[in-house]
Amino acid sequence: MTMRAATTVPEFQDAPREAPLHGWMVWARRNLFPTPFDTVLNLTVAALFAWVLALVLPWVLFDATWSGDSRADCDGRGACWAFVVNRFDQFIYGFYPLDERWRVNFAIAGLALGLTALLVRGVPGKRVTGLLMLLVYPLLAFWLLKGGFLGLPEVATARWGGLMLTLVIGVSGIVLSFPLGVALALGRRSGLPVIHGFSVVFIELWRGLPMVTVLFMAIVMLPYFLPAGMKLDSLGLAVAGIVMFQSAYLAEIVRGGLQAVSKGQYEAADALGFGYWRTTFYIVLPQAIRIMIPGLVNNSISLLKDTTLVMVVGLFDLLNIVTAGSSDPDWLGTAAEGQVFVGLVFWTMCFGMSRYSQRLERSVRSRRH
Amino acid sequence: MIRMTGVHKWFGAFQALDDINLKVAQGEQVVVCGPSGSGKSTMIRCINGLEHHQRGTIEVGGQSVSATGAGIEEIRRDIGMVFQSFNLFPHLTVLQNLTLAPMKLRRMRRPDADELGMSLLRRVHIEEHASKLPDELSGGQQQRVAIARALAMTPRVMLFDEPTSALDPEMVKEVLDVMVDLAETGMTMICVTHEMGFARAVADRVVFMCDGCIVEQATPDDFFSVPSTDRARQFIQQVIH
Repeated sequence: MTMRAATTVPEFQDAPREAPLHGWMVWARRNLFPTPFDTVLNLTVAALFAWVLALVLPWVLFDATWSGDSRADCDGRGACWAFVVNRFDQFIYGFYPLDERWRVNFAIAGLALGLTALLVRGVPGKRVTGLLMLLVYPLLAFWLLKGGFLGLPEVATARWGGLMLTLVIGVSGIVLSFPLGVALALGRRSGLPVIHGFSVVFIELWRGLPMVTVLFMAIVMLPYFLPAGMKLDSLGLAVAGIVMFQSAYLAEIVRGGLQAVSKGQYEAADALGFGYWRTTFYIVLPQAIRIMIPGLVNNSISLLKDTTLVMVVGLFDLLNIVTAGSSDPDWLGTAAEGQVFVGLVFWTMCFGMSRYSQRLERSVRSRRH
Repeated sequence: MIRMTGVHKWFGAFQALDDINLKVAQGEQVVVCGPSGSGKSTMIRCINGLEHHQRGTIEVGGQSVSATGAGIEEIRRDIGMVFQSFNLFPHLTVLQNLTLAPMKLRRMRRPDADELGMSLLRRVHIEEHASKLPDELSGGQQQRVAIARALAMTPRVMLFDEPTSALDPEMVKEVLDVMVDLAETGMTMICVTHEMGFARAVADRVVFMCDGCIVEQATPDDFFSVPSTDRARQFIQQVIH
């Protein structure tokens, strides 16, 4: 392949004498083929890339089967996407009753609408939207999804599943662990021995335990200590476990941010007569949060992926429901397709968060210079 | 206005302040000078409780100052302080730096606070930068904003902790000019500074400190022409040469 690449070079370099150069050709010559070594290197990489695509594309696209009712409908040459297409509704809604799925749609649409209003520049009312999303939306979403009051029939959390469950756990985990993490970080820096001690113990305990162990103990061992007949909601336990974990991690990120705020800022605030809480909320946290953005987003991404661990407590999140689906006798042998699909969905969500954090950092930097 | 009686302070085993007795009357301008490490900054930082003193009493406007005691925040609101390193709030605009404290601590409404802030910015000749962030200003401009920020709480006393030491030489004058203007309004001021020209022009009294003690107190004329101690004489030679 290198040989072929090498023979291509002179031809390409001769080309300008025969025909006038177009814009992209000038660009390519300057950036891709400035020296013979670069040329060889770039063509080699391009060839490797093409080779990988030539291996993957037929399986993913050209030879794939897109519709069917079981594995038998796929010819086995390409991917059996029929599995994902056939089970798509279940992957999104889990075992949520068919007639009630509009409630999930509304909840997800509300989340998407709120996030768009918050993230897109130029949409006014960021503060009101933010408060609505933090205070009103969770109640609204809970009412829509769980129901059981105000005219909506109840849907037990055991029937929740798929992407919808992943989003419920991920969003509540991120939203609930943030205030707890900030409180723990402030507690760890506190001069009051009881608060300081409690925060240190809490953070070190949860940071040091594997999450799977905690979830397992919560579901298997906790019932022994509870009064007979009392049953805890698996989803509630899973969310509580994730919040404990993530708030411990977050606390350390927040503490790092707080430490980066200089002593002079505290002194200036003290000298003006701001007390502890006002200093914290008006002067220290706003500065610390800017420093913390990369860490916070990193944490949110890892939290979202950790939601897949809830399979330990018997919840069917996106990953678990897809895995379960591919062990259905009708669909045996579709594990690869399922995992690719799950990977793609998670990657899209995480990449979105990452892009948003980069934009946030840029806007903070451009405001400062 | 300010009365320090028998104030002692230790940092661990090191004695930073040794029996400080100082009275500053309302409307008086006092310059504190002395070699580095002599306790000048520590002394004025004790006045608003940024440092705790371990023995003695400090009174500001008749109220006793103790850094741990209740009411320290109320006392601090009446004492403006300007730092060597400005310490402006970098996440707020220049105007917001001025209005935050009156709005949050004095419950001033935003239009009133903005008006007060702009009038103070005009006073320190920096109103055209009101909506910039502190980082976009030069050191001299930042220090003038810091003075205006302290004035926004309408303090009864202003403390200056080496306000020009971190500035490039060409910016020292613009800050000193603002301080001279302020002195002319009759503000009670205590300034830790090595700017002897400022001391001569403005101060009612020069307080000379060494090794945590007040060694000498005199009018600027007497202090510079006939210092009564050897240490003051040495110090003056070093600063003036």
